[in-house]
Order: sequence, then structure tokens, then C-alpha cells
Amino acid sequence: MSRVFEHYSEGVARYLAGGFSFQSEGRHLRFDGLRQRHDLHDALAETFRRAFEPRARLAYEGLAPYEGYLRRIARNLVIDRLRSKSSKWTVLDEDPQVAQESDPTTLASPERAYQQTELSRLMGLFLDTLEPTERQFVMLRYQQDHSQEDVARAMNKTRRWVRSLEVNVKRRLVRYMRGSGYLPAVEASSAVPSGKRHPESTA
Amino acid sequence: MTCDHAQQLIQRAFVWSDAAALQRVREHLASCEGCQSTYDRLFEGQAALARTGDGESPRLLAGPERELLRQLVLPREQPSRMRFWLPTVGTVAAVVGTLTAVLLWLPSGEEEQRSRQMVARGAADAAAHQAAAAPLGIRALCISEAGAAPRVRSLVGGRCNSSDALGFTYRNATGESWQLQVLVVNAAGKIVAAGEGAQSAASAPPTGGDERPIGNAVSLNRLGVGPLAIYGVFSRRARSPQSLLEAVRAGALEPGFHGDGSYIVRLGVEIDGE
Repeated sequence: MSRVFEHYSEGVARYLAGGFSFQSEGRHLRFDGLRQRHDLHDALAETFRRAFEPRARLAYEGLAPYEGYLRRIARNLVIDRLRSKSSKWTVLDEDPQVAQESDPTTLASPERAYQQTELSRLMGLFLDTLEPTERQFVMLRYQQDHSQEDVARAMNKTRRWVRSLEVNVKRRLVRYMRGSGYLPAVEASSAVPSGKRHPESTA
Repeated sequence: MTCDHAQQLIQRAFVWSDAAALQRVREHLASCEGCQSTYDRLFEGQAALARTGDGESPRLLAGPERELLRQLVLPREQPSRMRFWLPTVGTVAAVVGTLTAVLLWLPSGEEEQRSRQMVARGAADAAAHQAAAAPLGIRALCISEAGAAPRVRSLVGGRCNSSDALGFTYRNATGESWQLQVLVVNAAGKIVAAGEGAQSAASAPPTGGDERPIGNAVSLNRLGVGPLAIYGVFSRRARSPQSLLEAVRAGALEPGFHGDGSYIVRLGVEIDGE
């Protein structure tokens, strides 16, 4: 199941984030997609939980592509939540002309375009603050999407070393985002001791 | 749950890929826009970091983000935050001679249950656990004082005899100095050993990843049988016994990082009669 999650999670996440159209009570409706990470994470985790339930696993006949089956589960989950009165999810657009999926990594609005441009610029500046070893780690782990084990092999280090480096890079990322004002400065910034460094980190 | 606590959990989930922390904060996130915003921005930032390269197809989910979610979906398959050390992991130079022991690093709730299940199934992989070992920690040891040479026993199952003494080692791989205070609390919530006197253990652990013994051991024969909770309080500045006592009484010594910069470890030991 771990491998199944690894293989399909990106596709299902894109589906949930990109939105889809559907019909309800005779109307063409469109779900705009989940733009916020916590909504996306929540729906993605719930989709796979449902898919991994024994009943759902037995219901999959094995003929149609499994991603389509996962998408149906995700779609039903979204529609169920939209019908819930307590739902805070994205409102539906009733224009059938937009009944096509959008790419969640592209920009949906000028506001979002600006946010993503700013964020990309910020991350570029953050990368400039890293040591060469850390930049190599970011390239392998984040940009090339390797596992910690693969990164360790590529860098000729242990997995423990890579894990420690990852924690330190994330911690520095948090500090950087707070320092730049992208994250609100809160007391919780002291939740993780700020001075802990990876042995090879000098910045 | 307060927003301050939620922010700590969000940060912990993010930095340590700690699915248990994420699980604990989910309910709060559903009703707090401020914390949602922090969460969204943290993970969006990480995903943006993944998109800074020249990859042919930018991914929506960064690798560490996907792994965190996988733990959320498949907690029993991904116990990456288990803090157990099997006896094969470390041979520790403790107060007396060579010993092997199990680090009882017992987070609360689901994580604890999962940890127990992992060990019960014999599925714990020593190397993986060593890799996942946190940079700060303490280990409790049973020291049998019968006979000429004291013998240090493993704490498998978290049990000691009332004739034993309880010893401790600590680990500090942060590269920084911390003050460590150890409290032993009985089932009634009373601190039975700590702070000062022969049974205290307050020191400034040096840096470095090795485990070091803490000098004093606690004789158990006067404490009776039953469960004991052991708290290791790592902080920048040693806290007064009074403030620790108040924290114990208020139930505020929750394992993990705290807003004041301290880090708390909790172990559980059951004292058996002779």
C-alpha cells in the first residue's frame, strides 16, 4: 500500500487541486479545486484511507486503471463534503464552459499568480543562503524527488545524515520564511530550538 | 488547543515530518484560519522549493510532504518517528561497564501504542531507528546492586525490580549545550527524585552524539512498587525545582518541544516487587 500511495498520490493530488466538473440535480457544476494545502492534504489522506479500506479494495475489479478508481473516490469525497452544510470548501462555478480540468501548478488568478511568483523568488533567495552541500541536497531531494535513501547514496552519506540535513534545511526554511514576513512571526518559532545545526551547516 | 500549541505542532509536523503531530492539530486547523494560513504557507513554501529547479514536470507535492501524508494514511507502515532503540543499536558505556538497553522514549497516545506494536511485532529495524533517533534524549536503566559488581539490566518492557537502582544516560547530538534535569514522578504525581541532593541529576550535557551516563542513580527500594514517570527536561537555563514541581502538578510536562525553548522527554518504568 505504501508503494501504491507513492505511485498515485501525485496524480490524485493534482486531480483534487485542479478541480473537475460534475452534474447535480440537472445542473452543470464545477468544483474549482483545492488551493489550500491543509484542504488538499486532508482530502488526499481521506481518499487513500477510503481506497485502502478492505471493502474498497475488494470493489476494485482490476480492469480499469487504478488512478481512475482513486479519482472516483476523491470525486465522491469532494461532492459529499460540498453537500455538507458545514463545508467550507470552494464554491461551485455554474458555468459549463469551464468544465475542464485545470493544471494546479499553473496559475488560476492574477492574485495567485503574484503569490506564486513572489514565493518562487523567495525560494530562490533562500537557496542562495544554503551551502553547496545543502543545495545539492535540495536539488536531489526536492527538485529531483529522490527518497532519503537515494539521496544518501548519491551523496555518499548515511540515511541518518541525510535525515538530519533535511531537518536542518526545513528548520532554516521556516526561519527564512518568518524572517521575510512570508510566515507570521509567532511565539511558536521557538518550538524547535533554533540553534540546532547539521554538522556541515555553517550558515 | 491554543493557537500557540497548534503552531508548535504544525512546525513539528513540518520540520520532523511528524504525522502524529499533524494528527493532533487537525481538529484545530479545521476551525482556525490563522493556523490554517501558517500550515498552508509552510507547505506551499516547501512545494515551491521543489519547483525552483529545472525539472521537466513540476510536482505538486514535495517529496517530504508526500512522505508525511503517507504516514498519515498508513501509520503502521511508516513509524518514522519511533524513538526505540533495540539492544543491538548501541552499546553504552554507562555507570558500570558495558550494557545493552532499550531506550524508552514514550510519546503519548497513538504514537506510544504504535511504538509498542512495532516492538511486539519484532519489526523494528535497528538501523532505521538509529537513523530516526532524535538529537536529544534520555535512557533509563535498571541497575542491580546485589552482589559485588553492579549489573545493568535492559529495560525491555519498562520494568525494574524494587531492589534495583534506576540509572540514566542522556544523548545530545544537537551541537549545543543544554541543561538537563531529570524528574522521577510516582503514580500520585509526586516528584520522588529530582532537583537536588543525592538523587538529583542536573548537568550541562556536552555536545556530541554519544550517550553519556548521568552520575547519580535513584534507589528504588524506598519508592515502593508501581509505575514511575521519568521526565528529562532539556532547557537553555535550568529551571527551579519549584517551577518543575508546578509543571508536574499542572500536567504541563508534555513530551516534545515547548514554547519556552525546552524539550521534554517522558519515560515510563514499572517497579515490580521482589
